[in-house]
Amino acid sequence: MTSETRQTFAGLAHWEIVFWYGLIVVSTAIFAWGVVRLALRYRRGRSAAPLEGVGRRAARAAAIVLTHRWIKRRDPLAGVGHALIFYGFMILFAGTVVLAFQDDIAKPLFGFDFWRGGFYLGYSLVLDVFGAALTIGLAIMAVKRGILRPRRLDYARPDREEDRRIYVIGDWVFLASLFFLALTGFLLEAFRIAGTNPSFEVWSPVGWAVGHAFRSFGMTAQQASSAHFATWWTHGVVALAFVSSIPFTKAVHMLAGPANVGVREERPGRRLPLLPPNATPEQVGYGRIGDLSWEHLLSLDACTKCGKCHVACPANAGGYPLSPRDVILDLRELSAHESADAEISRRIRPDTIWSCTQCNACVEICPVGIEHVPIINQLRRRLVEVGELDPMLQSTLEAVYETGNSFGEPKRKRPRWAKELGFDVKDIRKEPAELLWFVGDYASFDARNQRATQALARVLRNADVDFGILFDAEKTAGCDVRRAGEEGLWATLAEENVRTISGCDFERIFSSDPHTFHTLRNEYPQHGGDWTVLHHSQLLLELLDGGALTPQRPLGYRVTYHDPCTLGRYNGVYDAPRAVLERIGCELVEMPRNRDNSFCCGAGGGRIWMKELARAGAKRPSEQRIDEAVGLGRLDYFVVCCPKDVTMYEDAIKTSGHQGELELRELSELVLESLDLHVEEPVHSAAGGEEDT
Amino acid sequence: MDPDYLDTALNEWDACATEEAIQIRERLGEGEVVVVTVGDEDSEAALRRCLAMGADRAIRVDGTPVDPVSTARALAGVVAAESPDLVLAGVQSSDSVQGSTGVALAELVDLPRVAVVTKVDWSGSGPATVDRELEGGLVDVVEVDTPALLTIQTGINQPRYANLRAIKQAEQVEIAVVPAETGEPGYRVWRMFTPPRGEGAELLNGSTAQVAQRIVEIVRERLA
Amino acid sequence: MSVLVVAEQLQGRVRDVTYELVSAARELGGPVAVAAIGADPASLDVAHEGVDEVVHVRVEQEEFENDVYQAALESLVAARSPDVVLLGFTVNSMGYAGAVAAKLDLGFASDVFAVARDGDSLVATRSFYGAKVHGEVEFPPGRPVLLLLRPTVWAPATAGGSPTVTDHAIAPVVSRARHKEFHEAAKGDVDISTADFLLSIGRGIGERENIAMFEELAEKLGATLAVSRPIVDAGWMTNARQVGQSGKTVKPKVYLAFGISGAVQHLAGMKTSETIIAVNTDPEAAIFDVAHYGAVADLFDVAEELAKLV
Repeated sequence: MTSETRQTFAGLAHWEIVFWYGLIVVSTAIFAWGVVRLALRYRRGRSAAPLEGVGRRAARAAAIVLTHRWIKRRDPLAGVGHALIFYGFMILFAGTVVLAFQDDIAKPLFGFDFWRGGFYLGYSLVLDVFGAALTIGLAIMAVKRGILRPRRLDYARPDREEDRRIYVIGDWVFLASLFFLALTGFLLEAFRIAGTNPSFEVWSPVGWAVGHAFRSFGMTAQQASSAHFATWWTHGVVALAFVSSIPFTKAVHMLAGPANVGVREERPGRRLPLLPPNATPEQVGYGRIGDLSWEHLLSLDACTKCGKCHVACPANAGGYPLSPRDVILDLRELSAHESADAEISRRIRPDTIWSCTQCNACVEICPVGIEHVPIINQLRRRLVEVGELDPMLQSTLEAVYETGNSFGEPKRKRPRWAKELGFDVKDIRKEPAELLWFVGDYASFDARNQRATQALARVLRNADVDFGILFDAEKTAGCDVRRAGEEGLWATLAEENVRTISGCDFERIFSSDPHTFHTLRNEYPQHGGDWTVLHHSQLLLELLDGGALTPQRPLGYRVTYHDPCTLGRYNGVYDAPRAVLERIGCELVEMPRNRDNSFCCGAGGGRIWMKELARAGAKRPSEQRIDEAVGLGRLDYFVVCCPKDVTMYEDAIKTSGHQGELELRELSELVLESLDLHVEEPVHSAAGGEEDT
Repeated sequence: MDPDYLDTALNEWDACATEEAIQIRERLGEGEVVVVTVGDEDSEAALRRCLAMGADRAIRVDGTPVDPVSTARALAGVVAAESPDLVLAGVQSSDSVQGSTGVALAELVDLPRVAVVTKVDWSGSGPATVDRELEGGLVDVVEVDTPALLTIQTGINQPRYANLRAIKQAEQVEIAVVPAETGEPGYRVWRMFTPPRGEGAELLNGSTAQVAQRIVEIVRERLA
Repeated sequence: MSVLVVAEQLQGRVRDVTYELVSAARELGGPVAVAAIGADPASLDVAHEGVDEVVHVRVEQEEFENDVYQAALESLVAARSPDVVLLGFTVNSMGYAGAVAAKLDLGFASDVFAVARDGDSLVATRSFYGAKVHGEVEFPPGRPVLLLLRPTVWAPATAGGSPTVTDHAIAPVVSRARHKEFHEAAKGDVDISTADFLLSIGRGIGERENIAMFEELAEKLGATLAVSRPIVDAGWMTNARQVGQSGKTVKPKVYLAFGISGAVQHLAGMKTSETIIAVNTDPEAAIFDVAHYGAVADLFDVAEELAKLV
């Protein structure tokens, strides 16, 4: 039998070993108490529907955590650093568990002594290597925090001054304690090797090298052995203290992070929750900290303040008093230190809540799966419930209720754009059609957007597409009404639209408005409207690839394309518009922030109906976006496929001072151009017409 | 008049009056706000909005009087029966702009009244002190005995939002309906017509820069 | 058709609307009597061109109180049986006209901007459905008609008539709504009613924060800033700068309107301006009906360009 092994408690007296086990019991108890305390805290939250598919969720969480898929996004260096720490810590922890199993269970109970020989040597090598990995990972993170200092790690708030040194201290203590553990671990190994010096310990390369270095500097075996004793206790006590502190410090993310990745919605924000039936005002949205669901309370503890949401947020970039990070941290402060009845308004101002565009950029990038956007939506629901909304938003919502559109226009004006086409558009309420075109408010009423809407109609006619519209029976689909927190109004709109649409004979629905497309596709099923819904970019691609549309010539334009939030992040439609541009012969130059990292125009979530909240002199998100496009060099067109983008960017091109350098085109307008149609001008009335002369 | 072209809604003045009533109830910590309208079933939507804002009860007088005095007569029975401590009405409706229904109603139920009120200061009993806004920015401070009728001007408050959840719940509330007694109308509508358009403005066309240039020219010429 | 006009006075001064009512009364043929109600009716200057008779009604109260005016008017109607009573569509008249009409069962309409005789009956024109349509209303003969006329529609009768003067005594009135004091709504250091050049802004500016931009523009242009009612209602400006029926009536040489749609109440206060220029995004805005020059454009763009030019 091979003899390579070591005594776990070499040099410790019996009472010291008993004392050590006593410490383990105490620290484990503190840890357990901390976990129970957290669980009780989460239990104060509202109970949501029971979690379904626990196994599937666990597998998903494991895959996301183990691959570091979310952690490494948009910051590979931090991803590497975290992976080194994560795997270093996990393997060292696993090593300790293996040793405890051998010493406390396998050997004493079953006489099974496996921690020797080849296993011992391999064990030594693996732990040494991962210990080194942990140390390197910590060094990377220290360099990021201390030297590189990316903006996302700056804790300054956009809404008010606050002393947050305690956060900075917490971060460094966390880093330093892990570093201290890694260092003392290596030291005690080195002292042990320097004291006993068995040749097989070369399998612990770091300890071996350092231990031999000590010896070469003249350390005696006796000295090494005393140093080992002191270091062993230091390392041991600090390690136990660290374990017991996990539920109380930043380290809690080690528990709450993976847990949250498991419990959170598959696609947060995509389908907002309905109100409970016959909800009382207190049941609407989040007003007190105890109103949060237990899942959302749990998610607060997952936050590591990494700030990826902070820098992805268009409101924050545009000088609004909102940082998604700070919303989560404020809620966490309340959750940790206050009773369930604590009013959220004590820490989060309405202006902060109204600054959000619900673009989902924060949710998209959060490495621990926090649902900032659904949480902010719940905060809005309460503000709407208690009537704390700005007058412009209030009058828009009232107009939507009274007229069915956000422009407050008479409903008969909705189909007016179709009058100027020179051909008739089917009334799908009266005759069946293959496609129901749900046009949406902006595409129907806004003058600039009407041109794009008409272009799409002409393209579809050219492709012999059988489509119809609802004329004045269409009402706002309500995506932004819902995201502004007026859940009741959205539900009313959805019910009415579902009723109207259900009375029509069609196969599929499409819309050129991503917001409309989104809520019809993903949220109307909550009110019984279950249809195949397309965005017009998908329909156009289908027509181009199916041969129904034949571009007459490649357009040859150099263009860039802006992903609408509700089309891209919410629905994953990134490729269809790009493919359409490719089919009609445009050269696409991507902006630095594209696809899932697309930068919101600033209009979403009902913001387009609200007063300006940005600090004076701040550059609007839409203007920053135009700057980004102009930075690509000469471009013919800034291409969009969302009516609100048309409005926002037509404006931003002027206000950002780039008029003349860049022009905006809606996707349909370029497709129409590629068809080289002779567009009939609207027929003028005969009276006074040219026929008379 | 094609009814398809008509939208019914709570007009701004009545929204302000309802808000003021609710605020008075909130300030006093007691009381009941009853909203009353005269109209057909379509007008119940406006009542439901008031209920959603926080009114306690609603009554609809069933009838469609055309002129302000007839409207006041239709309302008088309900107001007399309810005998409230304070009656608030909007200064005028946004469609007819008669500005007289409230004051006519006050006469019919024999209440002191103040028209075009921009501030109400009342302790719940005894005389109320109210501001009356005159043309040109002068405020007339008036002491009025109560019970009284006040016609409320917009701007006195910001009417709260009646959210759809609350409106839906208000739809469950039973609205009392009473028949109208209107008497003879004060006038007969002879004919209606769309207003003749004036000669119209000379349109300034071109880019915004050109428009601005023309404006500057016109201003200089006219002020010279 | 005998016409009784009730003079409107404030702090001892007869308001212009009274003279406009006289002009309207003359259109109906006359005779025209003007009731001067006050503590010292003789001091009220109502003897303008076209007035046949001035009726002094002496009361205890110095200032307007609706119970006093109601009692006076009821007594006058009972004693004189005029065919038509004309009042201004003003805040004061709104305090008692409806009550008189209800009590005496008079023919009644308010915010009237045209009157005509049609045989024995009277036809008044007013707006309906938010000024989308005009309507002519006819009053059955046999009972007096009380009309509230929209201010600024008729040209005021000029000074210098020589009417007969009679006294009409009424019993002392115990007011249930008593005048206590006057105060300025807000200390406005401006008087928009005397400015030659007004830059006026309305709901179209969207946000309170945008006011600063137009304040600057007004200063650059040498204009005085005025506002429409929604701006005052929103609390963005005091009503010292408000143009319109519940604000001030203005008649500047140039009235430059940004983002004002042109509610009737607003138009009433400014449409006699010598030159009206309107900038609005909505080509259908009613302001274009009274404007001499109109631009359908983004008002912020135009404002920015203007700021560059001056």
